[in-house]
Amino acid sequence: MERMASHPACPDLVSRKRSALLFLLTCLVFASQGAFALSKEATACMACHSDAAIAPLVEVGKMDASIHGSFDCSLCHPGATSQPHDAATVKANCASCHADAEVAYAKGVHGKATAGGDKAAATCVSCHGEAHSILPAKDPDSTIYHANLPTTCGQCHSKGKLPKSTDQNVNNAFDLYTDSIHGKATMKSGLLVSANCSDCHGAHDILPKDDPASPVNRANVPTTCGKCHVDVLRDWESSSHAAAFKAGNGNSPVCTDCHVAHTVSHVDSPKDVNALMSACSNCHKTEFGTYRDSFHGEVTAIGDLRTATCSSCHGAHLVLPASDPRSPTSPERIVSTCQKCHDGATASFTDYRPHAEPRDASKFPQLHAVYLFMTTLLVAVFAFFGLHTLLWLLHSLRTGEGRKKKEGRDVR
Amino acid sequence: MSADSTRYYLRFRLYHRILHIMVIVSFLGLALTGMSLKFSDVEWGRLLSWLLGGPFSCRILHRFFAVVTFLYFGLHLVWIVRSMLKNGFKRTFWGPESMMPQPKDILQLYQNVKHFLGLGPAPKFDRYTYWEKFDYLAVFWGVVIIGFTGLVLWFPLLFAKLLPGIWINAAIIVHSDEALLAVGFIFTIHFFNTHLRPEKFPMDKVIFTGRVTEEELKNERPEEYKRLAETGGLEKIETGEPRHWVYTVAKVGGFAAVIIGVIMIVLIIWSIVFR
Repeated sequence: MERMASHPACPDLVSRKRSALLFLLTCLVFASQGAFALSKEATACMACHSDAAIAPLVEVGKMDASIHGSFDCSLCHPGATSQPHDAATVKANCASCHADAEVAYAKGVHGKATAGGDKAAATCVSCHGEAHSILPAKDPDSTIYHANLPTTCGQCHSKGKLPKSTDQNVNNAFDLYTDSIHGKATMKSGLLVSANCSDCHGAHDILPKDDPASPVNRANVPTTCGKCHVDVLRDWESSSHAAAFKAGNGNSPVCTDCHVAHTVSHVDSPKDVNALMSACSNCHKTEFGTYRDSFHGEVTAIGDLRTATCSSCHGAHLVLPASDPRSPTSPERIVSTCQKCHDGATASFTDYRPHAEPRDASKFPQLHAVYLFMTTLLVAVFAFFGLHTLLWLLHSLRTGEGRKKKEGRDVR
Repeated sequence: MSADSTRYYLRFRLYHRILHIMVIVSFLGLALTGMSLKFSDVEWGRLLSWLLGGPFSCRILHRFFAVVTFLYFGLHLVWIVRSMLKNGFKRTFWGPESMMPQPKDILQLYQNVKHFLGLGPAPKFDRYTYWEKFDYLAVFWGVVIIGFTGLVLWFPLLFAKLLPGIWINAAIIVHSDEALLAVGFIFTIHFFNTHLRPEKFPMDKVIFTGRVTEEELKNERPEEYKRLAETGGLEKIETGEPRHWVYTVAKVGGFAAVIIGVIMIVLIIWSIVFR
């Protein structure tokens, strides 16, 4: 009720009595609607700017409800105190209060584009909404409220909005994000702990991903995702992938190499699983080939997930070499790993090689011998009978034996 | 020659005809369900698998047809034992009525190749030609090899108790390659030799009707005809003309099997060459 104290001045009133009565009535009406609390100066400005004929139209209700509702107009528009004034002289400067945001903005892609003369690039109002109705970020109606931010960014970052030359992942970010697990949780379920745009990209100082300081730069991706996925980050930190990555192997996977950033989803459909495994195959080509040759890999290729995928045996985030006793494929743990699916698997059973390559004589000499025998058998049989058949066919065609015999045959 | 005077002789008994139908049905079933898995890396394999209800449905069907295979194999072994008891060991495993390859078969192979090249007359075949014996032995060997390795893959935990797990890898190679050999052989060589060659095109129905005309017997198996005529065996196997419905079913069913086989082998060869 503190705001009620500042009563809107009313120059038409002459009688104090009537004035008191009207004041009471006004208070009553305003109290029932939520009071306007414009400053004296603002009230004077509204004499003109509440009329659509004199731009800009400032809606009193919205202005009052906004986070800046109690401020004097001249705080943002110092040029507006003198009459007459035009758009150029009254131009608001957000940085006069939000200096830190201004500094950050100037560093980011949007600020740089604006500085470069790109009129379409996002400025303060693009994200925070029309200047006179800016709401606090925690207000569910705010354009930058956690669950609303994707739609706000999507004003530009959705199909067809940005020039065609823009990176598709940037261009269609909103469309990709809405179908992702983060997007569904944030926008459909209102789950405020689910990542929205700024959780990964930052807000004022959004940097391109090739900038080493960007939170979505490959080097920073694990930390960025790890802000929420704490356990996953811890597992990854101990994995061979993290070790290789930190040792300077830029190809070693971080989060986004397996879970594609904007489209990230639950890995439960055959399509998702196969896409994820093909990410493994980017580096582990030979192993993926031998996997596809095995029963496990043939079944998943058809689209049935009841057989083992890469992570069924190797783990997902804590991938370790078989020489590490913590690895599910280590001699210490392989039996229990196979037992996840094969009840009663024994040490002898685990001598089966899921990634056997019979064509590799040095690694699998016995299997290579079997393979050679079978191949020779196939080639020999087909070569012999293929030739036999060919000679027969040519002979039959040449002598016309087919026709002769057919004519003499009982054809019913 | 008028239909009335056509004489028919029995070449295959009902027992063998039924066994061959079991072979056709189970072989096609095993080939379709097995190849859908082996060729899961190409579109038609995945489509085939989907049509058959997915890989785990294929697994059940594959094992059903495997049981049919073991059944006909068992019934065939019973027949061999019966033949040994009735005709003796020697007649079962040697001589013109036996499926056993003999020196004469090597000679006739040589003569036949010469004949194909226009360098000599066609050999005079007896009851079973050398290529028919090869077909038979290929299936016999195939069932033993594919059947055994198939059991290893059906019961891997059991076999892993007897042998180290790497033998399962070996079983996979043998099962898969031998299956490719069987499918490739049956759908090309067997189909051509028996059905698709110009003399028989589009198919020889004797395996369904069991009957051949006197003309066919004389022309295609002169030695058998001569032997039977001399020993008075011809009268014993003389029979009526095939029933019309058997003939129709043979035409439709047999041809359907040939078509499925030919389509499959075309897809397989195409995939192996272009993958």
